[in-house]
Amino acid sequence: MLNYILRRLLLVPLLLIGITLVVFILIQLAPGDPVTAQYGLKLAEADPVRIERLREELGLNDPIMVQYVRYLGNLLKGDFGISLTTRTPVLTEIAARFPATLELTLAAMLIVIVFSIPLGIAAALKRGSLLDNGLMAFSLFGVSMPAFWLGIMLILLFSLTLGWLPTSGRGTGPLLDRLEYLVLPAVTLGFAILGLNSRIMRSSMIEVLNQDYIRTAHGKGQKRSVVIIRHALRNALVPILTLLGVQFASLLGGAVIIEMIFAWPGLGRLAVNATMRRDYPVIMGTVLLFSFFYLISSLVVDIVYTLVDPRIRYE
Amino acid sequence: MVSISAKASMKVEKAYRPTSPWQDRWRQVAHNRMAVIGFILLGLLVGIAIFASFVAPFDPFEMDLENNLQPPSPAHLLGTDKLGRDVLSRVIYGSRVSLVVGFIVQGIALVVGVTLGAISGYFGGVLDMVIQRIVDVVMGFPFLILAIAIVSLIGPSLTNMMVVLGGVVWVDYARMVRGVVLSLKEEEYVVAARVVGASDSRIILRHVLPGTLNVIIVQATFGIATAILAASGLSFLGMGAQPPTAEWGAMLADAKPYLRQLPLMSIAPGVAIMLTVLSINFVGDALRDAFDPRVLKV
Repeated sequence: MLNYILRRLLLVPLLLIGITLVVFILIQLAPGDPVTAQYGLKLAEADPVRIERLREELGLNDPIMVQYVRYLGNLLKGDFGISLTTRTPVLTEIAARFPATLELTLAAMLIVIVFSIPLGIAAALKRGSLLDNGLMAFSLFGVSMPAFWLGIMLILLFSLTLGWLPTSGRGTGPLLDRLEYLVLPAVTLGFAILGLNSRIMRSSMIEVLNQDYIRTAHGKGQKRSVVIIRHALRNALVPILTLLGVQFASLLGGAVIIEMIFAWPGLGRLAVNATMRRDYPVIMGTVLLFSFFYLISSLVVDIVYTLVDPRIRYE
Repeated sequence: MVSISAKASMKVEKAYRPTSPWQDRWRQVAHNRMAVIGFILLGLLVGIAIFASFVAPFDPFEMDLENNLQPPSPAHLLGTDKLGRDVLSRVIYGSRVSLVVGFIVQGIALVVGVTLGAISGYFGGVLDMVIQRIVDVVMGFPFLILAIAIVSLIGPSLTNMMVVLGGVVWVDYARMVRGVVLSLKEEEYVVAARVVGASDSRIILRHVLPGTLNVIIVQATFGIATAILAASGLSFLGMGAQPPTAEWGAMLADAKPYLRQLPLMSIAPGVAIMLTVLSINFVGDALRDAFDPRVLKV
């Protein structure tokens, strides 16, 4: 197992190089070079000599591998480039937006955990009941619905029709004062996963309840609630816990569209607005950051998986 | 005239006729109520898409600026959009775009993924290492973000979006097919084929790939549903279908400013996406039960 974890860790730098290489290639493919982007086309046409000097100064005439290594060096120093539209460092822009995205993702995660686990348990204990069937339908619709449309529908119902919650924005002040802003985006983001996880929790619970040690626990006269909570739940939670790690990363990615709908001032909105303004350094910076989180969370999941479930063996 | 005994023997023959695995699977799918609902719904949608010009009451691109943003009326059941186009007709035509996008994206992914997955699993070695590291890297990106970044570079259009989506999701096939190929290539019949001197390409195409068909069919079905969802999301963000294309995601983006006054304009395209994806998921569930006995029913 230690061997596996080590191998998994060794893979990380390799993947990071792969990811940065892809992003670097994408930057190279971006239309227009950084000089014309920075100083405008007019200057480029008016003063080709000066442009050439700028290109030389910025190292744009160096071999591509040299440029890539320099790019990596810059990344290590935290230099993600300068936004073409706001002229501020990309990292500053990202750092300013990141807490909002994290807040949204964590809130969605919390909703998923708090609802999917009890719902899944209840459905497993009462198979074939109204709740069980309802949950099945709910999860089917959940994964079939475009999240952005669900968001629009929730706005229509809870904001425009009932007037209970604000339509968009993040609000100001401490978290508790702006919970009303957080509710709709977080529910929208977590919805599909909520249904899915309830189903998985249900089947996991059913599987565990059929185990011999559960029968033994019942047989020795243990109280039903104790059997369910102490013996069954603990084991049934394993698949869900590991799944949550993967889902955290996908929720981060899913936040992109949700942020656009609710005008949530996070990374996703930054990225999408940047694509509209063709602000490539910002786009690539956010892609890099998202991928980084993706990588880390899948790494953590894999490692936790081996620790939590000793039955799993990796070659 | 057929004699009685001949009739009886025909009956016996019918009763004992062995069924092929495909017939068994088909029977299993046909007995699944959800699957039947899914197939009917999907058939209906495909029919609407094919015969859109007959089903739609209006030309989806015909503008009528004097009658724009009309609420639902007998003439325009879902009202008209900001350019006075009939929303219902656009929703109907939208089925064409979404279904085509779903199939093309999965088509691209399937060809690339199955080829690379089969090569990777069958030959192993350095080739396998390289392909698998590429798969790892592509999987290292959240796919929607990567798609957005690439589309923004090569320019937003429906075609570009399909190519990019296909170019990102092939990894699912590659990984899956590789796994199956790895186990199949040690099977006796494959070893036997190698012993009698069959070429690698023949072994892959004739003996190994057919064995991966089960998982591919299931993956492709769910993949189409995912692709339709992703494509509508990208189009909603302006990265996919461009105006005046009648595409559900793009229509939702157009409708959003009028959510309060004309809610149906936002509701209809979303319901259309949901029904399409739902019907495909129903079919996919049934196919998975029939084709892939290893998967735990969730």
